[in-house]
Amino acid sequence: MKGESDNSKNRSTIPGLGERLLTFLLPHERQDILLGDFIECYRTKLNAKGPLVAKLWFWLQVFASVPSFIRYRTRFAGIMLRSYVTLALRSLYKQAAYSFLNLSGLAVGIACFVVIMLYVKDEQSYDTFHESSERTYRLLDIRKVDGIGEESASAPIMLGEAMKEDYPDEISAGVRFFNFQAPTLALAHTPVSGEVRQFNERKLFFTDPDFFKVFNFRLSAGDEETALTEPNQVLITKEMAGKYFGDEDPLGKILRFEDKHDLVVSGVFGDLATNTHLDFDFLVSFSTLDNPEVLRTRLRESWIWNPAWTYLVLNENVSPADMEAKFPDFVKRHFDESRHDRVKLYLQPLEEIHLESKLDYEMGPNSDKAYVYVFTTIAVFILLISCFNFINLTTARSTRRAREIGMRKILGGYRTQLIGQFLSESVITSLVSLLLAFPVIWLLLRVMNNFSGKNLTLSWSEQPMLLPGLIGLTALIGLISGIYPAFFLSSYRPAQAVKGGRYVEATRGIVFRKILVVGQFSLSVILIVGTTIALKQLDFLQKRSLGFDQEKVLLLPTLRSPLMDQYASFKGRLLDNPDILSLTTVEDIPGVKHQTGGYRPNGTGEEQQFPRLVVHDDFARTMGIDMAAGRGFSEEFKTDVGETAIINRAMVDLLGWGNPEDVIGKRFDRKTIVGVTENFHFTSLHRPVGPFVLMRIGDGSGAMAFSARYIAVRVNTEHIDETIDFIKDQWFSFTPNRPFEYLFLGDLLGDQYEAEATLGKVAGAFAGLSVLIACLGLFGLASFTTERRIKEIGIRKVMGATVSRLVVMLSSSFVKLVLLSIVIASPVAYLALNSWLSDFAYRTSIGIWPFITSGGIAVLIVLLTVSYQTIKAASTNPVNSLRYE
Amino acid sequence: MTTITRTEEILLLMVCKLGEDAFAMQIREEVKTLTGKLYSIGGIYVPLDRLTAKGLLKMEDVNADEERMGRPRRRFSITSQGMKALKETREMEQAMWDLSPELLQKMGLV
Repeated sequence: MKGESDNSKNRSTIPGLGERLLTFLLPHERQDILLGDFIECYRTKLNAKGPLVAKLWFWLQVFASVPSFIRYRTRFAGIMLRSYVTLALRSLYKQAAYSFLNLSGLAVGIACFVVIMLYVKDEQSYDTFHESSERTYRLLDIRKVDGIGEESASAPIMLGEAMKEDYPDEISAGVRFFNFQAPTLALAHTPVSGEVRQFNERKLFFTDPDFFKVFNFRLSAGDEETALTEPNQVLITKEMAGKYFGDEDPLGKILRFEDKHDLVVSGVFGDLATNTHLDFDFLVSFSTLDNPEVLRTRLRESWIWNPAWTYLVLNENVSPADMEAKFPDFVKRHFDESRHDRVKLYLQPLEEIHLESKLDYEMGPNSDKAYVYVFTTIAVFILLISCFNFINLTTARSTRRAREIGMRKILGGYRTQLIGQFLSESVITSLVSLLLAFPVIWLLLRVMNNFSGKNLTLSWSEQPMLLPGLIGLTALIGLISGIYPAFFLSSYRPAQAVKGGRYVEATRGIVFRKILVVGQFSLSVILIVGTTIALKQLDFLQKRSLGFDQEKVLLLPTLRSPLMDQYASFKGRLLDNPDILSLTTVEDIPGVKHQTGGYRPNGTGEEQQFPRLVVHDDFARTMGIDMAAGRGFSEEFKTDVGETAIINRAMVDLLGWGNPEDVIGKRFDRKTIVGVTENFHFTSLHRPVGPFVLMRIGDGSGAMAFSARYIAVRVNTEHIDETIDFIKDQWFSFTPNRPFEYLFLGDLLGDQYEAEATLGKVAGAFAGLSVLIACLGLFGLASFTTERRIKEIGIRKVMGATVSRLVVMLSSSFVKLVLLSIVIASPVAYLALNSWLSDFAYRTSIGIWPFITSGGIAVLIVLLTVSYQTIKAASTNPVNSLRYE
Repeated sequence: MTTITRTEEILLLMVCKLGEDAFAMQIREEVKTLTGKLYSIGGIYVPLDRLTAKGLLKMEDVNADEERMGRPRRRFSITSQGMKALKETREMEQAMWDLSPELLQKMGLV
């Protein structure tokens, strides 16, 4: 009805800009009438007063009318919005099955995304909550020559004190943590009545009073000002208070340390944050160590032994680079001259420790940045898959509504209204699925916490941006998926749409959906292949022969235990049991940790740092390590102590000594080499096997107390429970006041790959979910496609097609898409996994099988998914499908 | 009874007065001549819409003509309910002003 032809003929009308402005401002329902009014009045004015006045008058009128325009706009918008919501809910309800697929797919996708991102955020938040965390650094003591040596996260005890003394203007606070480098330390509490409670504690540290200035851990009982200032004070966590003291008030109670010294509980921690790399149960005042009976003065004041994790807070105007520039002078001032070239000190930012630090002697296992990236990728993949899904189902479903669109147009619906209808419908649908996502998030969080050992929660107060962000994101997904039907379908010609019922969809719509399906399955295949390889690598790491036999070895923590004074008789007593094959002592857990020592391989020249373990007789036999040449340490040779060494094959190769047999009898650091072991993995498989030294432990009680951290026992695993009971009885007959504990070496070795195990489990779970989501979409799509072709199928059946042929025909189009996805995804997955695997010193081969199996699984799942629909369609009686033709 | 405001009363009366010519712009002109109040072009529809929503007026869009570049006009006409409202208002007003001549004289209105 618009008189556009008149418009061009007669120029004496309202200014063009004004017309466009009015068209823009006014709702459809008003446009024509009001534009007419404006034109009419404008003409009257023009005839009476001339063009200038008329124009001026016109703009004044437009301006004056704006408030009423706004009124129209909002009123109509309100009416339309209500109608859009009603329509959206009606169409959801009308096609309940589709809606369920659509909504649940997106809900699961959003939930996965949220949960993984919560995990990632938690990983990134480690140690960022301390007051001056961005100015806090850990002091690293790196001792390396030609790439061999140790990169220690801990430093000499004296270092922290000397730093504070030398640089009072630069350093505002400093804290050390010290635990004798002991795997466990014994504590006991004797209540007034009742049994003694004694345990081996893993998380006990000695620390400085500055602790409360550097770290944001708060006491719920006790005075932070004085809690760590006096010797023999101990702070405990809430859980530990319960473990030792039950319901009693722990303040002022006594905990006996190593059966020798009494510590007084001076404070109890409240709930502690878990997103920190500091994991402690007990903190003992550092001044306790000034007592030479607790720590010998020689060790306390050593600049060689580096057992103390040292943290410094720099003043605000001091940059870490400036500070590091001062360290070479510091090293010269304090370290022994022979070490000046070797010792390098660095500052490591506290906030980076959890994700980036991979040093020797970390306080506990850290995470890895790579995993944060992997998890983020998985999260984005799943979100994309579920978005594609949503878009696909929404567009597919909307093509069935051609008749509705035609009817709306005939009844005077404008195209913009239809666009509004479809956009708002998909946005409303997506927001409904956000509501559904919350229970799924709740469920997935529990699963995730189970896998990762974290305590993640969905807290609106802690993440104030989460809810608005989620709503925005979901609305955006809805908007994107609404664009296609909104703009494409609204362009139908009403007559055709109504006549045809189902409008013949343009090929681009079908192609578009196919692209999305391929995209979805490509992402799924990448996730499946990735999971397969991650699990394969994990399996490889756990099953790889380490060069020793870890399954039959038990470790008994014995550091500083009085038992070691009677080691010989303890050993004799144990060996009386035929199920106990051999025993030795080790300085650290073989295959997990080791110490390093400075040695002169040729007896002269520069001292070099090499990984080493100080061990007792029969080490090789107990561990099941093969000798390449010579013999292991043995009690038959009294000269072994202090005069002999055993090296590994890698050391022989490094020194260029040729054949292991020829090495026997040579001198290594002025000691006689009595044996060469085959290479065994003395540390985790993340690192390649390097040169290694074994030294016989000294027989003196000092060496035995200090360097024999564990007794390693090789047992016959057939009567393992009886054997352990036997060892326990013997243990208590020697040291009744020491808690008995044992560890399986195999378990300890497995723990090293915990990060990989978590990755594998989580990636597997989410890969499964992603496939599920993709299948939900495919199921909907398949039913939609077969429904569109129901008449074709009917005719084919009449013409003699068999059910099986029809099923093959209908399924093949989907299978082709999935095969294409596999072709696209495989190279991408291969490249990504190759780069992940290259971080491992020992890695499994990728090979072709993971691709074949995951491809096969994908095809199989797709066939299962679509078969329901295709078989249903193919077995329909043609009479039913063709009746109304 | 339906109480209507003075503005509504005026508008209803103008619609009656203009009869076949009761288009928005014409009403706007009449209101201006009678009361001096000038509605903006868009603004005149606000009270007219309200009266339509109350059921006192009804509207129809009549065919386009040349003067308006082929755009339709909206003609308002009074409904029976609107008539009733006008009648009641008139009766009320008459009753209100039904004062004794003495009082009117005292008020200085005669």
